[in-house]
Amino acid sequence: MEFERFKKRVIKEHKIKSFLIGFSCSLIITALIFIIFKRIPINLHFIIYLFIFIFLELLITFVIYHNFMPSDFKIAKRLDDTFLLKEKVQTMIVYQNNDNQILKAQKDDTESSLKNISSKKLPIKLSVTSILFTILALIIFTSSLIIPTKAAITSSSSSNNSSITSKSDVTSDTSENNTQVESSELGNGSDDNSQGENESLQSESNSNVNSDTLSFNSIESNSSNNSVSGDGETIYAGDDNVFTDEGFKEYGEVIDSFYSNILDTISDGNTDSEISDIILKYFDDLYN
Amino acid sequence: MMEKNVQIAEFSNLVNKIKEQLHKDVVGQDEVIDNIVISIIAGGNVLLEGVPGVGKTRLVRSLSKTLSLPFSRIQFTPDLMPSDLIGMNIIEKDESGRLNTRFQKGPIFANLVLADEINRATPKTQSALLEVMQEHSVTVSNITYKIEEPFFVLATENPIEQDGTYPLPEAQMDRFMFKLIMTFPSDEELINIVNMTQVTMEETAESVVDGETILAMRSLAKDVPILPEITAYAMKLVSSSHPELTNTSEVAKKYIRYGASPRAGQALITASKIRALINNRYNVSYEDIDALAFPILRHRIKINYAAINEHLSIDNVISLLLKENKKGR
Repeated sequence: MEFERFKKRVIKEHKIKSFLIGFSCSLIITALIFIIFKRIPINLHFIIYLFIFIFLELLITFVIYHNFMPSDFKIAKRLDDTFLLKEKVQTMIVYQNNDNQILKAQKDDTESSLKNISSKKLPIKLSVTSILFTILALIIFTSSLIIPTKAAITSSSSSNNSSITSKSDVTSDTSENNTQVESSELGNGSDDNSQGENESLQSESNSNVNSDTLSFNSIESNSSNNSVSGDGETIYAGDDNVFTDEGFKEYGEVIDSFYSNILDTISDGNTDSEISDIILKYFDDLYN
Repeated sequence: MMEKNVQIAEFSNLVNKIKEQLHKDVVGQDEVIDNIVISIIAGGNVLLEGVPGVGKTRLVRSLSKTLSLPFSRIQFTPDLMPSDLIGMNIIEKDESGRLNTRFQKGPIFANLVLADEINRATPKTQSALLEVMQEHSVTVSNITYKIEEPFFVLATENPIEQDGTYPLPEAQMDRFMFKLIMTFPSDEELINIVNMTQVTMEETAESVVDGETILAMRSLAKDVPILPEITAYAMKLVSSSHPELTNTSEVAKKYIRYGASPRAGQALITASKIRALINNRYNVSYEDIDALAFPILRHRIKINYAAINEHLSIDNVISLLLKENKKGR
């Protein structure tokens, strides 16, 4: 049957369309999942996202392919419209189960008309909507890759807040203070005399350390909320976070190390810019 | 009666033969001739309108020769009575000398009737044609006489002379399947007409089909398939000509006073099947409906003053109706 040749071509087109829509939908859904997980945050491996994408792609393509399969009548209508067949194919399809002399003649006439037309002349049409939808999906997916994590957003905002405390500032401050005092204060909390100085220094250094952690910033900005627990341990409470002495000690050690390194660089007779470079390198090493 | 399967192949050949014979006597007027052939096969009546001398009567006379059917020509005049058309009961003596009544058939009892200048007869006489045109029968004194099939009435009227004429009532107009307009011939056609009539004024057409063939062709045409969508389109076209309906067209609301009757819908479907066969197709197309909308609707639709004010003819309004309806395909 000549009609089948064209039907195959239309089904091929439908397959492509279903795949495109499935691809677009699954890309959008995967992008949304990616964004949501980024914000929670839950770190999933790339392979898992790929698996989600492939699964959705197959599922959506299958559903669209089977539920929106063009009927024979629609295919016939398209053939009539495309090749100006004056409703011959539609009539043949509608009356295919009826039989009389004139219907037989009608069928033969339609078949002979279709026989003279190559199925390749039927253009594969991809609707503008589906193409635009695919482009939109690609844009959404690409955008999802460059949307920063929550931590990154906090990091950038806190670095803005502490922009005044530049690396050179830190250097000059530290040069005027006794590292030993600071470290003992932060590490053991035993030297009360130098606590005021230490706090100011801590404030300076925190502005840099904070560039990595929200918690430290919170502690600093909400020092008035600090309290003492039942067993005598100091609780440092921020808006969102609570730290114990144990946690705070770790930061103390980090800062100890930081200041000792700075003092070393100063005592070596380096210039300001060199000191600045060394400090930057130190931070890079620290965070990487 | 001819075999159906033979007719499928021969249908368009027979139609071409009829047209060929008609063109021996009538120059040009292709569309009119096509539509007359369609109406004859469909069993419809035709109202031919044209200025004097364009060949209306000649066309019908030529047709009668082509079809080799009994032909009557009735010249309609203001004093023509219904009994002059359909016949009357006459009293006569039988062999035993007793008086009996006998129905004397009028000129309407023919297969092909030419009602020349039909609008010159009074409405009373015009109305005498209502039954015969629709039911193909005549009732006199409670006795109904069937008219032999195939039966057609081809009426002519002159659109210019209005004095002493009686416009056909709506019911009468509705019984004509087509209203065909015979236009004035072109210069070239005029030359051909003059050359043709210099040889002889007689019609030269020869008989190519008989009544039985016409009936067989009619029967065959009924089997031509039509898509339900096309039927719906045709019916929508008819209903959208009614301004009083709620779901009507904008064109009808604006330009139409009265819309077409359901007979228009019947005529559209019947005629479109025959048109398809004539054009070597075995199914009805939207194109058939669109082409036939003009001769079928033009005498069934009455335009209003808004249309007249905008110099729109009835055919212009039908074009607008078609344009509006095509959007809904």
